[in-house]
Amino acid sequence: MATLKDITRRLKSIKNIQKITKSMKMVSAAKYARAERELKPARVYGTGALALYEKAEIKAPEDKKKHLLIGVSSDRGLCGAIHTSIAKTLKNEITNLSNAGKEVMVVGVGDKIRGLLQRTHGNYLLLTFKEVGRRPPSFGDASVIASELLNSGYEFDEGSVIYNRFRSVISYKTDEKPIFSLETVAGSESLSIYDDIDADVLRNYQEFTLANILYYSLKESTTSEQSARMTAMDNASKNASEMIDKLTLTFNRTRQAVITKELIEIISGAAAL
Amino acid sequence: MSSAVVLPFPVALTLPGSGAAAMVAYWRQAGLSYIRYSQICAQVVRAAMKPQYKAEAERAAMATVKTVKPKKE
Repeated sequence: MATLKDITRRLKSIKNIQKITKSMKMVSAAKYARAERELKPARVYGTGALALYEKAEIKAPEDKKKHLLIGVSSDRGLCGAIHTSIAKTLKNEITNLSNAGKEVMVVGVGDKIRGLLQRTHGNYLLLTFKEVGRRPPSFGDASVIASELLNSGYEFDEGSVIYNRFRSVISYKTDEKPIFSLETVAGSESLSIYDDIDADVLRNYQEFTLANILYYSLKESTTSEQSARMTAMDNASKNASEMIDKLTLTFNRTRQAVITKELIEIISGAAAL
Repeated sequence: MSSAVVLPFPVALTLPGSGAAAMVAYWRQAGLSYIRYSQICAQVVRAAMKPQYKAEAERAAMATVKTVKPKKE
């Protein structure tokens, strides 16, 4: 049976938490609106970059050994299952590819990915990036990531970008988009139908496509993250209100019990005189 | 497979099966990647903009991502 003071303390702290989660929800609602607005033109970059791969039906030959996985997330938590879904997909892919005998390296965009993977799969981590999620991503960010990747010296044959694709305010889906190396694209037979392509143009295009795909996945990822955080904070505020209601009832019951006890003591004390 | 061999400092590259030689861009010869080249071009364009549009463009182009190299233990 808790004392009145304990219940009062608890009630006060839960009320504060409710205020905080409500304000976090407002903030992420505003950030979500902005992210969704910026996502529309950004989608063009992504679909444009991937269109060549789809139209020319470029597929990596099965015997290629070196794989690269890029997991796109952010630094900040309290957004539901955003980070864990990316990490889970990454871990599954690592296991599948390692069992198939391929060499895998992982690039993590966002501190949370590094945190989730370092303990168990730390030796697969090639690079990580931080300060993601504080401000909306720009093409400059995607360029930095792409440049670091190209300068890292890891000559991958095939790769994929794993990100959370934004579907609607309440739903997102973890998706995977392929990236190919220069040799795979140059060696593909269907490329001969295109005019005026030489190795230099292809190399430029490959580098630019990498930056484009990263930009697209960053934009989608931030929008999904803000919508997930909005939902999570909304649920937290609702839970907090429920707890406040229940606690207020117990507080009143406890208060009445204390008063009744005091009355009984007074009355029984008076009767003893 | 592919007959395009990427030498450390290529001067002329050939596409598989075509036989025609192509000149490599001057910036590629100087060691820049396409991403770095397009970044420099964009910087120049932004510097040439009128002041009222320049501030907007500078803000939109800021890159805040930092690299963390994993420590080898």
